[in-house]
Amino acid sequence: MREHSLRTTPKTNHSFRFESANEYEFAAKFAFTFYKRYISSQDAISCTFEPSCSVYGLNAVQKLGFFVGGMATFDRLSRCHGWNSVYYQKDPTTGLNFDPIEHSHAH
Amino acid sequence: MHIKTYLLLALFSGMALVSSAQIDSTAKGLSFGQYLVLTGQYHLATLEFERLYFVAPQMPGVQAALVETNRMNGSYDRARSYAKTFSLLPQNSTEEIHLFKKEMILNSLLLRDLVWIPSILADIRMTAASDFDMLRYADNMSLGLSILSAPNKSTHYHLHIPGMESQHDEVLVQALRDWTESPRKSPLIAGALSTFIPGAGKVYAGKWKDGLVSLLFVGANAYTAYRGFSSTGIRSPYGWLFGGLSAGFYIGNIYGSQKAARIYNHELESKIKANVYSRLVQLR
Repeated sequence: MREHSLRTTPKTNHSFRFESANEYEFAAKFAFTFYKRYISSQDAISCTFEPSCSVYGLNAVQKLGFFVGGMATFDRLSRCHGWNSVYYQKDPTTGLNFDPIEHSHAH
Repeated sequence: MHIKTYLLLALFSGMALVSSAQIDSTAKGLSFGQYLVLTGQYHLATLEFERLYFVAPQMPGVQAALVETNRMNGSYDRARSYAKTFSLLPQNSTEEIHLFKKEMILNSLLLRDLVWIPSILADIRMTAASDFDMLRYADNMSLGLSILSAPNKSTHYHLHIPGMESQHDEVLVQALRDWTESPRKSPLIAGALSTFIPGAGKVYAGKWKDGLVSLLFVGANAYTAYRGFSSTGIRSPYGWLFGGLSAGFYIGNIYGSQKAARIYNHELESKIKANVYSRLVQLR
């Protein structure tokens, strides 16, 4: 069956993975994936980062756990604004500020 | 009798002709190799100099050209290997051996393989006791390496060369000064500042725009929560929703402030190390 999409901008389709360390992590991952799939996908790209804040949050919870990953996600959300382009390198493919979880937690 | 004399003369003439043709061929090969280098055809130049080295290994300049063209071609490992081989040849002069040791160091730098370099420098110091230029080169290289391998700002370099007044490279001395004197940001202070005033830690870490937005996020959510609680009491859903968001942004900001201080330090040190590295590659 062929699928038709009305989106004008490509977005990564994240499938939900059920493996979680605890219920909190499961809930957080479900929330991020739900937002990514059913809410964010109906809109154009508005996040200033690559990967987007919801993907960052998902990766943060997966790699750092619920509490530290949650703090990193709130921090990332407060950094997602139009004035921050001077602080980051650009992603060559999207032109957005490049800030993966591995990059910001390598120090 | 006359026939034998003519035959011998013809033989000697033939040998002389063959010998001069070979000399002519190698001299032209050297010129051709230099032409290939000048026109940027480094790969072909390495092949030409390898051929010349096979034909006339002791031809002046061919060993150095072989190492240099391999380096120019990006074959740093191969260039280093050739330089090591040539530096061990007993028939080479001291100047040539020093040149090859410098090439070994340069190619190790280009390969980002710094493990080799200290032993080569120790060897240079032992063999070049009266060559002040080589000693100064070794001294500058040691200074640069001490900065490149420095784990933190407490590293200090002790300048000493027995028997001579050391004169260090200005760029490297400035880099050492930057390394030891540039103020770092404390992650602890950044976190503490953000605990008292949300966003202050990020301003301290040099990201005032992030700090201002963090203050707005925490302040706006806290104010909305306050309005919810004050209008409908403790059961206000707005109060709990925005209070939770405000708390999340507040804690996330403390976490992000200490991280911003760490990133500031890392970027500062990376910049100094990049300057040192590019200077060491230029040292001759």
